[in-house]
Amino acid sequence: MTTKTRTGADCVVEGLRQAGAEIVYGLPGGAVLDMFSKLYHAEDIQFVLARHEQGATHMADGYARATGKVGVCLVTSGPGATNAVTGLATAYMDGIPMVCISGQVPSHMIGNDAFQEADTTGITRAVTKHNYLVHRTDDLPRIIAEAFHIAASGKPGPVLIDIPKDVQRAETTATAPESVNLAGYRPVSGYDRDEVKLLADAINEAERPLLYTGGGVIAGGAAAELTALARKANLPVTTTLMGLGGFPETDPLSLKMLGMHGTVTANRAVGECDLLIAVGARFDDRVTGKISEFAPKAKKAHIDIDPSSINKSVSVDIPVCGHVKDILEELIDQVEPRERSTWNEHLDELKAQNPLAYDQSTDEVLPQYVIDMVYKVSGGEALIVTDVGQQQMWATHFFDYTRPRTFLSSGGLGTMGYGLPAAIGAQAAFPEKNVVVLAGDGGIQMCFQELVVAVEHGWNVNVIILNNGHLGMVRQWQEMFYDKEYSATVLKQRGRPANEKIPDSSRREFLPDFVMMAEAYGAVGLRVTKKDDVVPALEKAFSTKAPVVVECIVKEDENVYPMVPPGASLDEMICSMA
Amino acid sequence: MKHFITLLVENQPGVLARIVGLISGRGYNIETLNVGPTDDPTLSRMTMTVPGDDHVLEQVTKQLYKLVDVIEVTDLTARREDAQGRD
Repeated sequence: MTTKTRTGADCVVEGLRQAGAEIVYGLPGGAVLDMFSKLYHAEDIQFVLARHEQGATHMADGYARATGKVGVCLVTSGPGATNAVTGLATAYMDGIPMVCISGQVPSHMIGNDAFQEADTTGITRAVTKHNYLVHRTDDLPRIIAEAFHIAASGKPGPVLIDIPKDVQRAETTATAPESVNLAGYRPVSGYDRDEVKLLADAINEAERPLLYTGGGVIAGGAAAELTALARKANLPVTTTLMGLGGFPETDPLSLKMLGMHGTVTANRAVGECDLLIAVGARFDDRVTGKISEFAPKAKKAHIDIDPSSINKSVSVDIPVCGHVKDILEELIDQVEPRERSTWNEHLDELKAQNPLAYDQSTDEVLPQYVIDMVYKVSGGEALIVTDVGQQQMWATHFFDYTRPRTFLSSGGLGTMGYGLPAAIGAQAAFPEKNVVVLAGDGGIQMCFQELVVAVEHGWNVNVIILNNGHLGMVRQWQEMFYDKEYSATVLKQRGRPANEKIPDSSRREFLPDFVMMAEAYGAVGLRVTKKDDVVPALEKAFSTKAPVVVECIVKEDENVYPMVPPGASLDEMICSMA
Repeated sequence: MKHFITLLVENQPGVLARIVGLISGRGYNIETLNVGPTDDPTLSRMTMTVPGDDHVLEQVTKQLYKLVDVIEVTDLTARREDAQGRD
């Protein structure tokens, strides 16, 4: 068999096709022109032109989270690659499958401080699951196949392929191998049946069991199995931020989210349970609080695909390593149906005593009210993408997520600016869905420029900006733990601290004017300053066939409660500032 | 507590940087390091001593094993203690 000779750039397009890539997000530059000239002719692969590489990576990430497929982005060398680092780190922390292809200066120039040169594999080593600097065009077909395999298998993550310009231009007859075979990469397959038996016995014996579930349930496609297991044995379920949607929050067994801004019931249940079953979760510090006092009365079990995640922060009594879906299936067979009415009734009482609430009687526009109304007006059917901060936490309180991949958020890295581009990436995959971004006035400014991408494609992203004139979550920490000294957290034009040396003037109170910004990008801009206008504005936004930005001027000093202070145990929840 | 870790790795540029980065990034110092070829020219053998507490080194070992270029990781510390115990 003779194989056709083609260039490295051809091999990239061929590799994307073989991997089933439908959409590539990115931005061109000198070192990737060869690949772009090939993509120009690849009409089966849609190219989405971002306006900043951070935006491109978050778009690929949003696409991956919404679809479960590998997100793909393409960036140039040097600044293109360094701009992609935040997006890679975001995906890495949350285990999101992504392949990022970057251009590199020609091989003979590497190390010469060439124009737009950066040591991209060196810089991204700590924020990727794996990365490659391609030295020979002959290796390229194999490397692309490996990259997609590594990104999607085991605990998923981003993989970067750095391709020097001469490698893109040189010719080869090499093809991708039939199957990927890496001596040093063998993701866990199968599981230890004895461990599953131990866990099933522990569940059957437990009086006060608790399922604590994370992003692994969603990545592993195990939401249905989790739900079946919980219902069969009446196991209450609390999820992490990453796990939202993995178990229906409308189910009576749901305690909603746990951790720093979790519900009182979920955090109390952690303290009281006699068996804690972590499923695809990693005992993150925002979840556990003071680690030595986390679930002190419980025997602990941990189901995870990543062996290095087990016993990392908390030593567990029953480790079960393998695919969450397979293990849950086996558990469903082995657990006995039990009422556990004392435990579940106790939790129901706690729920009734400690509802997530806000002041409904006030005439002020509370940010919680806006989020509550987003849920009600969208009928709970929207795909919610959050930025990072207070709105992100309220989005966990006042929404009930019932299906996987309907809540997208930067959990581990906490990347402000994530929301809008991630929503655009998701909307590209599902043009018909109602995709809603919840963002603050701080975070939205970090990637606002990507709005034009939604406008030009006709993707009807709805951007709800909760404008409290502050970096709200940081302001909250300053109010609670830093003597109310609002250093560098005031964004509005009055009341800035003296050290910022901002002269008083008659400037408008809120800058920028988000309505004008929306219009400048060709989107529809709406501003809400009264409580009565919130619902009509949302109804208008959701029925408009164009991207809409709704700027809501909200009460500036609302805090997210409950809150477990950093480093405290989950028992030490603060429920109000009174 | 000193740990003696031996690794079988792909003989490729960048592999040493990956391993050293993983260990130094967690604030641990590599006291000795030896890298050499094996019978298979595509693989190298690395042996290093790293002082650090057992829990952290267990985690480092697991993270090393996760690296795609690392084929085998063995912490020889326990074996060495056994051998000394028998003397």
